Formats: sequence, structure tokens, C-alpha cells
Amino acid sequence: MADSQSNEPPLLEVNNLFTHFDTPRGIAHAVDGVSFKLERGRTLGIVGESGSGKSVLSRTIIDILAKDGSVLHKGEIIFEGRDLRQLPEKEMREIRGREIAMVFQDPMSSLNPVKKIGKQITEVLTKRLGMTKQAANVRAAELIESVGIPDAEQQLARFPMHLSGGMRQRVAIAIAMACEPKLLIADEPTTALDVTIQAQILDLLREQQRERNMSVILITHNLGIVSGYADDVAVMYAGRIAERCSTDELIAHPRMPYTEALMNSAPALSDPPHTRLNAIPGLPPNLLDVPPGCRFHARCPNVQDKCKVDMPELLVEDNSEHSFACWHPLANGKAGEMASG
Amino acid sequence: MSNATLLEVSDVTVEYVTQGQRFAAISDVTLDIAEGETLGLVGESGCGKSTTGRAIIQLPTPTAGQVKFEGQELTGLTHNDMRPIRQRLQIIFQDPVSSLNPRRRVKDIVAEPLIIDGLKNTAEIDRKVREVLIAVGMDPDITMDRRPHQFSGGQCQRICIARALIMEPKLIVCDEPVSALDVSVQAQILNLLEDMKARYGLTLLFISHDLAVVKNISDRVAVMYLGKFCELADSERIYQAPAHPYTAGLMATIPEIGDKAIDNVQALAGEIPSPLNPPSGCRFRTRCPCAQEKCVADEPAFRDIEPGHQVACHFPLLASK
Repeated sequence: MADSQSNEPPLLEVNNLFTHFDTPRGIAHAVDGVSFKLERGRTLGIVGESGSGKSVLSRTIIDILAKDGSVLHKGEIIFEGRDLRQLPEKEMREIRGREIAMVFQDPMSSLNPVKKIGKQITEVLTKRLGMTKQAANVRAAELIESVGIPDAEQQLARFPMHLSGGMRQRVAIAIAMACEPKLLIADEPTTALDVTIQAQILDLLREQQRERNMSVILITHNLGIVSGYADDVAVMYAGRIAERCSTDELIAHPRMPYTEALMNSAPALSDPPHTRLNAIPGLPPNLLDVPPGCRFHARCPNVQDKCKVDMPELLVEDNSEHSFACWHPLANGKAGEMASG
Repeated sequence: MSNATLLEVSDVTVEYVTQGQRFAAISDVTLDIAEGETLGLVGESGCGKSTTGRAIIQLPTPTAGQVKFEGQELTGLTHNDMRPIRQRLQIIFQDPVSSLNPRRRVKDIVAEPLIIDGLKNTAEIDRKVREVLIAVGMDPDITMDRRPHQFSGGQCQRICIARALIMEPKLIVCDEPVSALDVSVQAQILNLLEDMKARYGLTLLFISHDLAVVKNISDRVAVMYLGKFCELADSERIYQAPAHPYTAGLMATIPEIGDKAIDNVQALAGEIPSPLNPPSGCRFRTRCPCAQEKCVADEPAFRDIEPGHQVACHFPLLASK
């Protein structure tokens, strides 16, 4: 879908971003040279397993990691023409929450347990947008209603503990939407929820996105979610992007063996019972001691000598929009039959 | 299933008291598991699937109903009489890290059931621990002297499985054993469970909220909703022809790789009602797209619609898929 990226610059451009943690046991390479672009109104899915760096990447973009010197950064985060990494904290505070909002995995711990729902929403409206109390109350009820919570007026007077997990996540989304952000980062927004509620929340996020022409970064460990809800996808492994392209392309023609292995390791509903799963052997590398070469080489079925020595860069092949970091990629079109089901 | 019935659960109800009110976490649950079978138990949070698993191992003893294991009634047994039976009736939990004592070494954790059983020969204990660790894919020389925090979640789950296997049980209740794990590791553990089942001749009750995982590992699948069974059938059948609207809705909402961005997927509306105040009639009617007046008035019986396919619904979906 190349039509959207004509003349307008992307909303967000991340260039060669590094986030390292200085820990007592050494430097943890959590994000290690990540670059991507995000157009307006599109959803980028970032998918990866625990420790792949997807959450650290999102927290780096919105700049909410510790500022005590234990976090080391390098690279650029260009948002609407400004490098967020260069902005003073005061200006960054204007962007955070207002231009870029975030929804977290656990709505219980991201909401204040001792503050009423209404107060948590109106606080944003009065403090960030300078609304009067009355106007904020009206707007809060509207927001609550727009995220599908019934009896808006009554709900505003309740505490988070009175609500179910799904309802709490709706409140978190309402708060995120309060300032009409241009970019929403949703970090595993449905991982703590049941599947039926997950579907409701993902539909709600999509509806909000379309209404507001917002860009979304959807972080998840679930390729199935990416498949149904993201336009483009970046697969992360051990702090780097292993493959990036449109979602349809990724599902139909994965090129990086890790992507294919990840797809094959999940049980599919269409498989008969007792189908042997294609588990990926071994474990992801220790981020404190990253091996040379490709980070996936120790678990890769196609590994060759070069993979153990030289690290492949994320490169675009020919004229396609499909980039992957692999010395010995899967043949183009080889995995097409996997997409069914 | 031609094999002998290993476990028979009849009309089991577990009640709890909360906020001064008695309520049933599960009511009238009836199931049987044949020797060598894997029965999957699936449902959303709060549906009673873990309570069912725990009622089977008598933690706690159910409020009403019978649990027969290898022909022996368990519900009336004293704590001491229950002990020898527990060796053959093990459980694995969701969070492998918190179910291992962080201060103990792997060899002591895995050996503990043997020691409780009264085995004193240290050479014999050592041999058995090594054997079971190798079986679950861990190198005993490296792992035995380490503590749980030195292992990843997947490796801790292997240790939990080793601990459950060391008494050579007949039945293992697996309560969401892979829910805390990444997909690549989840596949390793599911494969391991299948291997162990073949090697040790196990029977499994596999509890999970993930229908795809349950379908993969189970011979038959039971779907629970708000403390009751709503459907039970062979796992292929329940996927091909779900008869209960809840099962069908659950299936439709699972995001699968290769799903296109479609808007018309009928997401199940609403949320699971409070078990303190369950709806009249059919418990699912408040969220059911096919609910009718009869569903408000009468509770549907859990009945056979075909041999081996039971459903609790007045208007089961036709097997047309």
C-alpha cells in the first residue's frame, strides 16, 4: 500500500536507535540499532517475544525510562520534524500524553486505584487542555461513552477496582484519547484480557484510530493480533528488527527464518489434534552478552558460517517495501501456502 | 474411548462465601476421563476451570458431588488417606517461577516428593532425579545445584513437570501450564507434555483459556461458562461443528495468523456476569446472539445431541460448518 506515503513526511521516523541499560552485571542491549517509519493514520504492529526489546523501544519513544544515567541512548526519534531526543524535558512533557499517548498492558496498575475514574479523566482535560471543571466533566462523560462504557455518568464516580479488566482498559483508552493524540502506542493492550474482551478492545482501538486518523504502534507477542489489526509489521528479535513489511506480505512471504519459525510454533485451530508443534529450539540470546553475527543464528535452521560472524543489516530487497536482516533468507514465495487457515 | 475410566467426576459443586454471600464457583460439573486420554477444559477467567481442576485433587474438597479416581471415592477421605493417592494425582500450575521455592536447589525441589514418600537411599534419589530431569530435557549436571531464578520461565516449567513426574503419577492436572510462556517456548512445553504422556502413560486434564492450544493437545474438549459446562465433544468435532453459541463465539474471536482485517467478526458483546448473581435460565443468555424467551425462563440441561457430543443449549447451532 504505497499510496499513503507519497509526498507527506512520515509522522514518526526512528533512525538507528539504541537503548542500553547499565546494570550491575553489564550493559544490556535492549534496543540495538532500530529504524522504522510510521505514516499518518496507519497501524504498525511490533511483534516479538519477551525480551525482544519491543516495550523498551516504545518507552524510549515516549521517553519514560529512568533518567538517572543508567539508561544510555543513541539515535534519532523524529516526530513531526522534531527530534524528540534533543527536546528539553519541558517540551517533551507537552508532547507526551498530548501528541503521543500510551496504553499499557495492565489497566489496574496504569490507573490510580485511589482516584475516581471521572477525576482521572478530567485531570487530563483541565491540566493539559486548560478546560474548566464543568466542561471537563461533560467531555469526560462523552469520552467514557465513546469507548463503549454504559451509564457514563455513574461510572465516573466509581473507582478502578469496581470495574472489570476490560472496562478498566476502556477507561485507559479514554484517558489516552482525551488530548486527541496523533500517535497512540498500545503496549500489549489486551494481553491481560480474555479473548472475547480482547476482540472488543482491539475493535475499539481500530474504531478510535479511524475516527481520528491517528497513527498506532501496536505492540504484541501475538502474530494473530498483528495479522488482523496492523497495516505494517516489524518483527523484533533480541533488540533488533529482523523483518519489516506490510502485514499481508509478512504472512504470505516471510523471508527471515525467525518470522517463519514464530508463525509455525503457534498451534493453529485448523490443525488436527496432537499435531506436533514446530518449537524453536533453545532460548533467545542473553542481552548482556550478545553473540556476534546474526542474533538468531544459534536457533536458526538455515545457519551458515557467515551468520556466526557477520551481523546482517535490515535491508530492502529490490524495489519492494519488504526488508529483512538475513544472509540466507527464505526463497520469495516459498511460504505462501502457510497463510491459509 | 475404549479405555477404562480413570477419573469420574459427578455433580461436583464448589461453593465459596464472599461478601457474606454463598455462591457456587462451579455447579453440577460431571465429566469422566479415560485412561491415556487428554481432556481439555477451556473458558474465560472466572468460569470455574481452575476450581474444577482443584476440586479433582481435593484442594479444597468439593461442597457436593463425587470424585472417583481409579475406582476410589476421594471426597470423603481424610488428609492422611489422601496422601498416598496424591502421588498418582499431580498438578502443574500456570506460573512456574512462583510455584518453585526460590531458596531451594533444583535437585531438592524435584526430590522432595520422594523424600515425603519416605525414600531414604540418597543414591536412589539421585538416580531418579537425574533420570526425570533428562526426560524433561534438562542436563542434570548443570541444573541440579542451581536455584529457580537461574532459569527461564520455560525451563522452570520443565522443572515443575519433572517434580510432577517423579512419583510416576497416573493423572496430571495441567492448570494453564503454558499461558505465561512465549509462543516458541510454549510449543516446546506442549511437545514435551505429549512426549511425557507417551513415555509415562499419563492421562491429562489440560486447563487453558486458549482454544487453539487446547485443541492441539486434547482428545476431547469441554467448554465452561460461569461455573457450568456448556459443551463437551471430541476436539476436532467441537472445532468443526460447535453447537453452543458461546463455543462458536469464542472460536470466532481468536486472532489467528492469516486473518485479514475484517470488521464483521461477531465479537461476543458484553462481559461474563457475576457468579454471585447469575442470570436466570441459561447463564449465557445475556451475551448470546440467539437468546429467546425460553432461555430466560428455563435453564437448558446438559444433554447429548449426538453420541459423545453434549451441549447445554435450547437452540444448539446446526452442524453445518
